Amino acid sequence: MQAQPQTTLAALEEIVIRFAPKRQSKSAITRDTHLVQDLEIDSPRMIDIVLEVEDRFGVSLGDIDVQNTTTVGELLDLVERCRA
Amino acid sequence: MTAPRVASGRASDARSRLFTFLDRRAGRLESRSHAAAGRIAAPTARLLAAYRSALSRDEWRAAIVSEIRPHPILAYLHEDPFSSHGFRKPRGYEGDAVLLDFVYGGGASSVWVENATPLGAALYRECVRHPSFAALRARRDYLGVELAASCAAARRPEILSVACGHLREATVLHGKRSDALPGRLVALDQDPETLATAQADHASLPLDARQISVLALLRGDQQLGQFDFIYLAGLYDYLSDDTARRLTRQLTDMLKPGGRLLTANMLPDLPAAAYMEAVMDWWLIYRTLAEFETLSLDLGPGYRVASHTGPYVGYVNIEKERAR
Repeated sequence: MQAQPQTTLAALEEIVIRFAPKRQSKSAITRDTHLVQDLEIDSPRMIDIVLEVEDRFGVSLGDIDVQNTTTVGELLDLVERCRA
Repeated sequence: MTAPRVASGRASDARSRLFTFLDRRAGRLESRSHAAAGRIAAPTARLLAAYRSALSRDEWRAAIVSEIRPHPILAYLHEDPFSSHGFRKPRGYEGDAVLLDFVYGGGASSVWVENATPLGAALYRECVRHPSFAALRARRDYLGVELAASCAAARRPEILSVACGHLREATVLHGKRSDALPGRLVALDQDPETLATAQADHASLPLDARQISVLALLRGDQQLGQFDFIYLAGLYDYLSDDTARRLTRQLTDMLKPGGRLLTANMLPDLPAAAYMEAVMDWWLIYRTLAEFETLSLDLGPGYRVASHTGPYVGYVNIEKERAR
């Protein structure tokens, strides 16, 4: 059974917080949270996040799609598209 | 400037020494010529290191944002084109090949150095003479020696350089006879501009430059073949343990029997680490040699692992045993 978007968002928040250099509480993360500006996630940390997301959700995210992802909401949408 | 809430007397002392020095140097620079200010970069690096060592990681990050970056000395330190390049990240990521050219001297950095202000040029010279950056030159030289040794050990070996940058270590192969060159030198980097420079600067080598991201390499999407020698200069300095472990497994799978993988990682005692983080916004993942070795623990049988250190750099060499 496919997980609901909110469940996916919660899992993504957990992954993003784990790898973000800038510490944030889970409640501070929203769809609009900017991965670079708000969480200081650089390209190596994005690799960590993508690998973890791929393992957790059993999806493969495209390189170009990942490069174009700037917010938590866009990452959620990308994962949902790949799972569809 | 308001003192941050720092837990220890050691942090308070280190902070006081740092800002006393920075205030005096900034004052001299404001009122006189740069020559009157004396040495700046090296003492700043030393005092920043003392302050960093007295703080937790979160406190250090907060101190950088709240009190170090806003200090007037930063504008002067950023007249150094090397520090400024690190801070600005014109390629969009840390530690690009141009930044390393500043350390090595020449190459793509020349135009910036030639156009620096007198203060910027003096700071640049002072900065790159620092032992931390001499260590990066020593790493390039060591990789060059190993690259040449691989070419001498096998006839026309197949070699892979991962996150190759401008491949400056390969300069040791320039002018060699064709039988002392690799049969194939595959150079991977995510940055097309970097690859174009590498191709132009090593036109005499059998270079096969490919724009491949670390992610693509980790997924094994690419059919690159197998290699006698695979090496990485600085990539592990940016990768988490999990990702570095995955990459180690992936790369060892790409070794021919008897082939070897050479990896490097900066050691935690790098004296300029605090300067790099605070002034250049250049953050590495430092590992002790023991921590670095653990990245290859899950390789299983069939590999021989050896490690050693150079100045502020750890090296792990993994050899794939030949079938008996």
